[in-house]
Amino acid sequence: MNCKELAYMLADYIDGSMDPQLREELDAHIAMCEPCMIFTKTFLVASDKTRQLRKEIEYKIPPEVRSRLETFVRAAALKFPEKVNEYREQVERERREKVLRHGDLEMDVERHRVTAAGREVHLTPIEFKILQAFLEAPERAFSRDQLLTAIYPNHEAAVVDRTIDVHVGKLRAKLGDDPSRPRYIATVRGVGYKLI
Amino acid sequence: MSAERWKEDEVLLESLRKGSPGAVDEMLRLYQGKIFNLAMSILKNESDAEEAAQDVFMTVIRKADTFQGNSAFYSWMYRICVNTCLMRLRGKRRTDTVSIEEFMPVFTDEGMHASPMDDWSKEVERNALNEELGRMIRKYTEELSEKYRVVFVLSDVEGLSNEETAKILGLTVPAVKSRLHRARLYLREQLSRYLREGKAS
Repeated sequence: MNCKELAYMLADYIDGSMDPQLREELDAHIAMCEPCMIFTKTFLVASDKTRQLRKEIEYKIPPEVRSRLETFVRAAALKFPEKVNEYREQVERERREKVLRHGDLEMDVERHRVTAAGREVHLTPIEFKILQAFLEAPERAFSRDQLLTAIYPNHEAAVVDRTIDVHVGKLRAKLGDDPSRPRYIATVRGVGYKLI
Repeated sequence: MSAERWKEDEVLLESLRKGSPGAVDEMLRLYQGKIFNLAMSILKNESDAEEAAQDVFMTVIRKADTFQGNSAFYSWMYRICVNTCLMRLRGKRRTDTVSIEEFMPVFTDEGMHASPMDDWSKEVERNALNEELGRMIRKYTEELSEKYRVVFVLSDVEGLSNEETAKILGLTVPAVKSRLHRARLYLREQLSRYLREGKAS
């Protein structure tokens, strides 16, 4: 028995499924090994705390969500699927009517229109998705891989992530951005890109 | 799970099947909070969780008739919730998660603990830190990838057994046990680091 084995056997030790002889060995090790004693003790305390603080850890349903949900489910229970479709359309409409803004950049997601300082910029679908990802999380630095995920949600590693540089390059050119002194899209060294 | 809950479930299912008035209200009373919490812990976004909860309740109402009764009603409902949320997560940009490996205990070649252990169990047992600890545990849970997060939430926050969690997630019991153990090791390490920093500052 060593400390490593012990750490990974703790699961059986705790749920009582451990062979009694092994349990004795484990107890014997714990009794003479201070790090393992502390490790086990803190491990158990952490798990106990989680159970004890369940109410604090759980997400409380906000009152307005509760009342919307109740109204919806009650109404829908009476006469679905009409209600469900109606609701879906409403959600869809709200999503489509979304206009994203940042500085003098403006993106109308539904109409697929982008303007920079009032001037319309024509983007390819890929460039559009990249810019949309930036605008939806203006504070965030995106790695090349994360941008790829924004374009191809289910992409596999097969796509070389440097291809993103080409798309970002074209997007910058269309926005009239100079990579050495960018106004819109900055390169974050060692990470990728972010919105300025 | 308590006998009381079983009984409530049975009555609820029966009235949903019959379409009795009040069945929907009863379902909401019993499960709205739980479903919202589970959806939040997978989706980590309030409006996504709200929509997912709507989908879940609609599915339950629609399928109450065909529910076979070979699993408990609440676990059937949790399964619908997990599936609904995972579907929503697909194709969505994932939020950043930490690598769990960085929080696994480190051992020497001889299998000994590689770094000294700090005993913070007494500090945590005092209840003064509870509110803060609850917040921290939630935050650390959110940083886990959903593979571990969902298992941890169902087992340690919702208090389901490994067997129940396995059924809900369509995993084997050993898989649940191993993910859960790693999630707990992760949490222990996160709390250690947190409490150590707290002392240092």
